[in-house]
Amino acid sequence: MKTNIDTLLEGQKKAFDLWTETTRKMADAFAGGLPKEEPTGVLDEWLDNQKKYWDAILNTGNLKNAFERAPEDMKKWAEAQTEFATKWLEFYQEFAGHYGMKNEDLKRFFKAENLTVKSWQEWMDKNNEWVQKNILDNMPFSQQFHLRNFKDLYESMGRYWDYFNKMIEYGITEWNSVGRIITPDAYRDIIGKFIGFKPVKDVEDWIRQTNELFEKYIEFYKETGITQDWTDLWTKMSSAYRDGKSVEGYQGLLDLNQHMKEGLDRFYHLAGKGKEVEMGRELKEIQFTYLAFIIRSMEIQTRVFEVSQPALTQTLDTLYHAYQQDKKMPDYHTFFQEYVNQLEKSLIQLMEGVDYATMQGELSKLAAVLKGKMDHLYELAFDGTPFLMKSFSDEVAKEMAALRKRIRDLEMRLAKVDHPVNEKKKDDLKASLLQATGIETNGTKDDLKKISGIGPKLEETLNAIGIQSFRQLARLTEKHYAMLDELMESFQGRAKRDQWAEQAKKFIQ
Amino acid sequence: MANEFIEYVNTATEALLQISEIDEVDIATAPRETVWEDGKVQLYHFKRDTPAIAKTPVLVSYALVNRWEMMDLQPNLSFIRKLLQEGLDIYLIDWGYASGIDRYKTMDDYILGDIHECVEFICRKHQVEKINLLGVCQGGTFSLIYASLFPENIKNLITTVTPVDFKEENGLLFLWAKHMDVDAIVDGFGGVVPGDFLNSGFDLLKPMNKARKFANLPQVAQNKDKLMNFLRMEKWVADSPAQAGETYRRFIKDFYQNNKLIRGEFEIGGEKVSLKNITMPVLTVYAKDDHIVPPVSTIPVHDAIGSKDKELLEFPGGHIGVFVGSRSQKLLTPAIAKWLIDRDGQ
Repeated sequence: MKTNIDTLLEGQKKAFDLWTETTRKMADAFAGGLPKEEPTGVLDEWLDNQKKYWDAILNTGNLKNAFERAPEDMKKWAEAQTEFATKWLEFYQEFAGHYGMKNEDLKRFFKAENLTVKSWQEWMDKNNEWVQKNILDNMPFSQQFHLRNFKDLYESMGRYWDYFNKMIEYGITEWNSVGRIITPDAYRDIIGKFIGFKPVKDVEDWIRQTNELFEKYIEFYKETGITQDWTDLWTKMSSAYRDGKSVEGYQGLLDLNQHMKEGLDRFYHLAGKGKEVEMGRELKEIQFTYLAFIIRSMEIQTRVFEVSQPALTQTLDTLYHAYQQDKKMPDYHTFFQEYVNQLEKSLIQLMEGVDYATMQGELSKLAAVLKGKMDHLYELAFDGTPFLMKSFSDEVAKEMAALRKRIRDLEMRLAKVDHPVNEKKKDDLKASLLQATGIETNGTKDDLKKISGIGPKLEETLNAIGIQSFRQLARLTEKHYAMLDELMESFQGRAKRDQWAEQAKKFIQ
Repeated sequence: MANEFIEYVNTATEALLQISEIDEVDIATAPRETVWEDGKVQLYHFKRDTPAIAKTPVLVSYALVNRWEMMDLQPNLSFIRKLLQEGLDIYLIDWGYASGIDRYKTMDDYILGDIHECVEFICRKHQVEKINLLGVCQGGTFSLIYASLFPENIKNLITTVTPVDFKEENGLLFLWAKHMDVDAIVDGFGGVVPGDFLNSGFDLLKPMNKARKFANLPQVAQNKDKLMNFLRMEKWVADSPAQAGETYRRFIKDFYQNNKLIRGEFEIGGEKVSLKNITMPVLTVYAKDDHIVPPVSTIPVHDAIGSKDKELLEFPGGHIGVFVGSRSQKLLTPAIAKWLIDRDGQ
């Protein structure tokens, strides 16, 4: 019997061969050649463990029991994977010198001061941390608001309190006047702090910043051999596009592609070999998606900024009228709270618009696509070590999903074994039912799913009995509903509840 | 102004000092034991000191969004503790934290798998044919689906702040979900939608809530109890599990975008779900000022179900207030317990 699990195990073995091969190549890339002894000890032990788990599952002789235990075994299996990865890396670190690769090189590869990387997972975490710090935290529209911003915000607004105070006293509440005290740029900064975005004042500046950011990103990999020319080529290409010189831009793109292929090559000797062009393309896609994200953010920011101006003047106006009543000047905290309420009203009004929903939808989509592309980039970089990758875990997740469904199906069948209706009785029931409904001799077959309460499964069951038309269903009575219930595998009582005959009559008319 | 600001900074600093002295923010303190589990999903049984007044046990089906601890947030004002005090026997499903391995976990798995197995487990344990089901928010939507497929297993059904009618004019979430490319989002996130992504959406519903909260923090921090409750709520809000991609995709598409449940077009496990199949007694609890699941999205269930014994109960507060705070303890938990105890007999 060849199960999906066997296929999975085979996949593992293939992954292993690939891994060993990659190890050889990594060692080859450095002076000193291959060591005399290959790191087979760890591999064998790991494979043995894997086999033990799967043998245990497959040899229990009781498939249902095996499926019940599957999630637990999967967990053990995942633990074995992690343990292996850790061991392998420890081994690799210890013996890297023997391969001719100095720990210095490894350090440079991981870009860590002190090499503390215990597993690939940890390396990935470090990478993610970098992306978080340098890219995600710089997103112009994070929609996150933090306490650390709040002090700053409270203070920024507070700087204007002496002026606001006078404005409330004298009823100066037009934006024309207010805007002279609190300049648009300063106000944009404040609004930015509320919403959690970095105000975009200047599109060109942002694009320049983005390009710089991506240069930094490339820099992250640069240690292993990308030259400075890369950024020059990038600047050349992007300026050509910016100035509308598309032919030159295209040529720049080609140069860049070629350069990227060559330049990244050394790095990809360690990881992602053979995927250079694909990785290069993905990097550019990431950059473009990121730019699109910024442009969408700016649109939203502009709208938010527009609606936030009246929120301030409205606050001053409300407090002015209150002051006229009781001649009591509010304190800063009261002003601040009133302002926050006004701002919220304006924002909600903005967000209730369909165009805002569209912009927000587009922004979320871009964020997710960006994340997907970054993950894919790592996949490409570590192509050849599939069992550590999302695409591989994807197979495991699919396997789990199939197992869950299988278990449910088995349980449903088991439930039926517990309450069997014997075959003879089934045949009798079918015969009496068909006697009542008649048989469709001319092959009439209606879409019984039109009846409320009948889904594809029930339709199949009815057809199997020999009921396939509205005319037949229309002849059913309470007595027949009970017979149907006995024949049906689940959802008892449904025919009666939904009054199939009554419904069917309507379809005949 | 200068003095006022210095004063603010001083109080805020004191508040932060207070916070740094707190070792643990305790939530979910009602004693319980795990009586059934399958992978990440656990079924809890809350401990009682006395026999329950209502014989029929209650299963709480919480949402996949955020964590159930909200129902047992403050030891002195806990929804669950209060229901126990009022004489109910409570079980609750903890869905755990979805991760990569769950990316293909479907609504079928949650409803026909987990909920069904928990219901059957409780039925076997108590030797009863039917139990009571109490659904919370999205968990209420799941409960309605379950009860319409297996009405023979449910004695009484309670849904609390449960979205059923997903028309886009029902609120901001409904409008946004309509304009969301859920495929791109689920696939982009690699099949696991991060909790932060969901939270940023919820936060935007009241965009100034956080600013308001921080503005009041110095005052809150002067009272140890208030500060602890503030931190308990913060802890709960921050603990936002990721969503299994396939379930999220289907929930957004079938409910938020195509409103299939109320239209009788939703299918699960190959069967169409008809809310008319729900004929057991039903109590529908909604919150008057709910900005996440507004009353317009919950009340229509009342006319859609087939039950004769059905009741609408309005709670004067918001989505979270239904479970947290003193109004819930005064108005809601006793009413729920009484409703169930009244319907406990044969």
